[in-house]
Formats: sequence, C-alpha cells, structure tokens
Amino acid sequence: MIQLNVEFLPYDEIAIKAYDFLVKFGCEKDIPVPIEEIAEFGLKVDIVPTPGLLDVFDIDGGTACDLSTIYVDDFIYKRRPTRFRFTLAHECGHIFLHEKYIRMFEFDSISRWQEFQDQIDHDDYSRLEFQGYAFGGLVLVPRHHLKPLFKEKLPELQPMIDKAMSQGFPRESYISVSLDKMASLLAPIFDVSTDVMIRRIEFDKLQNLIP
Amino acid sequence: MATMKDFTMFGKFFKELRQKRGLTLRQFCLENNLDPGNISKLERGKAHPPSSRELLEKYASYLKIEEGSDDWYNFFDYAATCSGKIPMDVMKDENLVEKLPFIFRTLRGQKVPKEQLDELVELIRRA
Repeated sequence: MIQLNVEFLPYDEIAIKAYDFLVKFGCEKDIPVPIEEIAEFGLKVDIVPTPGLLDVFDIDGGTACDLSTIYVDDFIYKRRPTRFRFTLAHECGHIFLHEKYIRMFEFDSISRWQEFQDQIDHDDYSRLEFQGYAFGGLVLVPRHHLKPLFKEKLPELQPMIDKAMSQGFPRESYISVSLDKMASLLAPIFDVSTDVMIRRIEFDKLQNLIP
Repeated sequence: MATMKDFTMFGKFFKELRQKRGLTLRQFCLENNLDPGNISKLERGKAHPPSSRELLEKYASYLKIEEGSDDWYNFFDYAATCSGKIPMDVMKDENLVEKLPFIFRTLRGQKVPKEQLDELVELIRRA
C-alpha cells in the first residue's frame, strides 16, 4: 500500500481555500465563475479533450502528474457544459490543494505509475477526491455569493410553501421539493447542474432558511 | 537536424496568438467551427501543422493575424519548419509518464481497475 498521508481538511477550510483561489485569479466577484479562463490563462494548463475517458473508464477528467494538463472526456467537453465546468473546477482543486502530494511522486516509468495507481491507499484516494469535489463546488458556487442569492430567491418559494401549509402539510413534506425548486432557480446563475447546487445548499445548511 | 523545440514552436505560437485574443481553446474552436481535439494536438506539437497554404491562411485569419505582419511571416515560417517533422517518438514512455493523470475524477469515485491501466496509458498517449 502506498500512503500519502493526506491531511484532513474540514469543509470550512476548503471554503477559505476556494475563496483564496478566486481572489488569486481576481474572480471573486464574477458569477458564473470563469473557470475555463482561470485554468487556461491563470494556471496555464492545457485542457485536453480526450475521447473514451468516460465511455471506457467512467472517468470525467484527470490532471497530469506534471500539472501541465487537465484531461476532460471529449463528450463532456463538447456536450455537457456544466459537467465540464465542474470537472475543471475539481481538477483545479487538485492543482491548488494537492500539489505537494503530486510532487512527492516523480514516476520514472509507466510501470511505477501503474504500481502507484494500483496501490494508493484507498482512504488517501477518497480524501483527495472528496477535497477536489468540495473545492469544485465551493469555487463555482462561492459562499459569499450563495447565501445572499438564496435569500433573494426565497420569496419565490413562498406561494408553494403557503399552499402546502394551508393544506396542513408539515415542513418535512415540502422541504425536498422546495430545495429542488431553489436549486433550479440558482443553478443557471452559477452555471452549474442542479445536483451541484443542491449539494452546495446542503453543505452550507441553507435549507434551514426555508420556512 | 531539427530539434524538439522546432517541432513544437508552431503549436506554441498558435496557442500564444489564440490566448492573445483572450479566447480559451473551446471558445476559439466554437467560434471557428474547429475540432478542439485536433487544435489541442496542434498546439501541443502532437500533430503536424497543415501543409495546405489555404488552411494555414484560414487559421491565420481565425487568429486575426494581419497579412504581411511579423506574426504572419512567423506563422508560415514555423509551419514550414514543423511540417512533416513531428518525431514518431514524441510521446515515448519517458515523455509520457509525466503526462499521465495523478488521480482521476471517476463517476463512482473509484480507482481505475489494474487491468485497465495499460489501456488508459495508450488513450493518454493518443490524446
């Protein structure tokens, strides 16, 4: 087993790092976040559309060991814009958060790389992936934009909530549909999928603001 | 004999001009109806510059290179230098290994099975 001893990063700390990332590239005020421009012009990586990644390997994307290249499945690159943006943000997370782990390994042969892929500690792998995932969401849906926009859109849920309440339904019965509706209102603003939006709302516990 | 730098300078120059226009690869290809995979290979020196003068002139116009400018002459000079001279071993194993992904964003958050790694290496070599 190959261990990287990836440090634990609480979600709140990843949020701070995501904000620092946006500030570094002067994009903390921009919505939707121009993640493609950040990757290409800021981080100076090549974004390479790669046919077959998803079909054959279930892979959306990956970052080269030398940090020069982000591979994105060709179909996602061309046909799934929100997923493309999330994949880029996720991979930028690896570059921004995990450079020290990536630099620890300089593979001198393909077989060494294969050995690493096969033997990397599962907990380390999961931790790297979770942090990349969390970072991706926090970069595309930054906290300092999400909460005010969530509050701004709340009145649009009110008729549905009023109706449910007038019919005697408890909060638990309409909270999920309210959350879905809120996600569908906010997702286009951030140019993310509703799934990413729901996760972000839930991670920031903003559903508690729904009456 | 041409050096490795010679083989990649057309692509580097192409990329530099595209980025000068403030366009990402995807935006540039969408704007001009080009295949981003092919242009990416061209920019990374993994594909020959086109030998057709007509196609090169089209690319030059997409990049908004002014005819007769220094950029114009450099563009065609680099294309001539690089044309047909991409070495077959440009992605030999020692070059490839640092371009392999460190970890992947997979659908289910799982590692790629050991038996698929060879296939993945070949896919990245061709990318």
